[in-house]
Amino acid sequence: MKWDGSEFEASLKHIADFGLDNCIGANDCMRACPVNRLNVNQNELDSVMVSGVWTERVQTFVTECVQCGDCTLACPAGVHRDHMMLMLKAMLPSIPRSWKLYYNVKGRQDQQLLISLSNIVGRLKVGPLGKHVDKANLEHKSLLFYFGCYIFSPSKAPAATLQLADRLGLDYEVLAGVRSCCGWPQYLTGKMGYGQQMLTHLETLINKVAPKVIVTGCAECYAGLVRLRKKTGASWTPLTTPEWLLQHADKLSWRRFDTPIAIHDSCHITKKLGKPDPARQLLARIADVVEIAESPEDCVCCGYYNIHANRDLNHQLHEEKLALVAEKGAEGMACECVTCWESFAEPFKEAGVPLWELMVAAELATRGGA
Amino acid sequence: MGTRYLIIGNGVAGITAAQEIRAHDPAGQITIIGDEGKPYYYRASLSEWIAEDSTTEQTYARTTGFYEAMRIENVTGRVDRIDAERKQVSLESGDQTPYDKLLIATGASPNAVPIAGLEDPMAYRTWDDARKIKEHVDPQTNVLILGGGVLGLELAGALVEIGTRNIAIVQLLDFLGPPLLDEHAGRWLERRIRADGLTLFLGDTVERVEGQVAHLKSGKTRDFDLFVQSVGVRPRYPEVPGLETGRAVRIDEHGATNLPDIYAAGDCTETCVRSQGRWQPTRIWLDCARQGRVAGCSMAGVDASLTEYPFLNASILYDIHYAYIGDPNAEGGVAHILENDRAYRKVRLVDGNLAGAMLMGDRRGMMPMYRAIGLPVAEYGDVIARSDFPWNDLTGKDWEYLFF
Repeated sequence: MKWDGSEFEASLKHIADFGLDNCIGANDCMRACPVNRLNVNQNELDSVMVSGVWTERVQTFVTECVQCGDCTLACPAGVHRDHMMLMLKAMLPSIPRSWKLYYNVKGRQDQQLLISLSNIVGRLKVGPLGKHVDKANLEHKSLLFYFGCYIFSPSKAPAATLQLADRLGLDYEVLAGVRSCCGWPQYLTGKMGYGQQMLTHLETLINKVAPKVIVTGCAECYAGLVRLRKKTGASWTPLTTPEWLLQHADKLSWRRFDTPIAIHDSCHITKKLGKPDPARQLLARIADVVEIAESPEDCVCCGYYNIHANRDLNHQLHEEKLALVAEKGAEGMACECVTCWESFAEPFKEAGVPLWELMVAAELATRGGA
Repeated sequence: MGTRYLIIGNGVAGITAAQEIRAHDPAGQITIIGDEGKPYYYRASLSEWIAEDSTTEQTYARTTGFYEAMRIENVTGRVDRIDAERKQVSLESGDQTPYDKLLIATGASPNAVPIAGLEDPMAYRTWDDARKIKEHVDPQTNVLILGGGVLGLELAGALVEIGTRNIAIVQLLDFLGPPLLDEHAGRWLERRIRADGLTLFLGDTVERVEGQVAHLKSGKTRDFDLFVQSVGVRPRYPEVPGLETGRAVRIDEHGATNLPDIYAAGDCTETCVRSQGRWQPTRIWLDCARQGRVAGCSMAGVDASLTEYPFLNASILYDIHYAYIGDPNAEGGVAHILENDRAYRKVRLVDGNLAGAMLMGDRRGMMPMYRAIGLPVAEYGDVIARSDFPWNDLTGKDWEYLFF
């Protein structure tokens, strides 16, 4: 199967051509963009895409694009401006140093030694979960938890998820570590070929487990799984962690928190894949759910995938989010995606506002047995 | 010296062709002749400009540096004559421009209905039209729009946004928005527009004008400060001896006309729908761009043909986001309809397969739905009109696009 960066880029080109042809110039995409601090117009992006002649403004903007998809939701003509931005990321004439460092390891099949080293260092960091990192002997199991590279995150969600599975008496396998990355970090930094290599390798690893269901708590990993299944026609079903836990929710006894909690929507799951409900349904079992946006699709992005390009810009998004949480009277916020949680963790801690990972909250709320 | 490409028309078809030519022939000399003295702009964004949502700069589809970056010479002028034998175009200024390959992408002009007593009626299509309208309106202006089709409604929506409420729309048919909307959808939009305080005269027309008063066929009268006609467009193209035309310039699947080295694309063309044995005028922006791509490739010697795509038109009607996909008004079959104050969604199945959809107010699912045209969907029943129907799952293995 030919499945490299060139195929991905050809697919992006197809979408970009459609976008160029069908754009009606409303500029709604750029008005909707949460990180367009330079007030870049859509015509500047299209001119660069067609001519290949870059301007400094466009280069900065393309670097800072967080891939939240607000542009695409706003478009009256059905243009996927987010994918057009991915294409521009792939075309960037030069990239920030922080990005280069980012994929010195990730996505590099030719850097096996470095990957192994980073997995070893990571394993030491994560304590008991370390046994799941870069596992040599993956077993056949119908349930697979896919934690990818986020197993190394300070997130407590992977541990909580496994505790819940144990509480439910389920049998499962775990796939985790840099080697099983989903490829999205590479796409988002413009390295389509590296991203495709990762996803191809992920398929090999999944096939060793031959699962029926794959559960992940990261929105990008979930999007990666959806792509992989679309491409290969695999028979397994990808589930987000709330989707999975809801299937077993009645087997657990739930204790409710006495504070109302706001819900944060991840861009990939709500805006791009259209699944706003599972996270809400799960949170509703634990606490009163507070909506902080007019609709789930209007949720302010966490900004994570502005990977180190402009931290001040992300800071603005975080301030906006904290203000919304306070304004709506929530005493904390819950995230289903580990990336969002990571992005918000520091500013929420500084502001003294509780930030829950849904799986951690669910584990706490169901202590007391199945 | 490289091939001399001459393009008449600085709109979507002309520019898209030029982009393709440049992609395939880096050495070619590309000249575009436009008669508006404006860079390539989005017609649909003129309403955003009137509504003061977009700046002049934002209505342009490319930046000012684009022509230079693409090495395209942009000439302002009006074509007087095309000499196909000598391969030469004469401008009204007297200038002569030779070509090796010529593209006619001259677009369309607004129709004008002759009305007794009305001199120099205002139209709404070009930048100049938009500027004139803008100069004449303020929130107190009494506006009369003849024509309740897509453009008339777009203009009305823009005027409402800047506070002009004294607007009357006179529409010959007894519902709004044809040919895009059917009567039911037209009524849905009508309620919305009446709620904004606009006056509608449906099934009526203007017979004569006396001073600042329009006399309608029904006997009613309506005062106005500004009279805008928006009653459709007709293809416009230069007379060329021997050029095959019907209602417009006829092109084949490669964008070529019957004359050697003369191609055409966009609103000035019609194409043969072989499956139905009839010629169809080019009607929408997306089709103009697709024709421009094919013509540009053909002119640069790259093999390309027009494919029969399902119809797709998505934009804003009045202030409502809409999408028209495939053939939602196809004869026969079953229509599943979802209607409430916010949205009107009609999904049509013919022989159990998705034939088309008309989505207003809530267009969620439109792109995957567009790709699902022709797929069997009868088993799902009424729920396919809902905005949360998982069209993406249905088109699961289709990997040509990344859409999800």
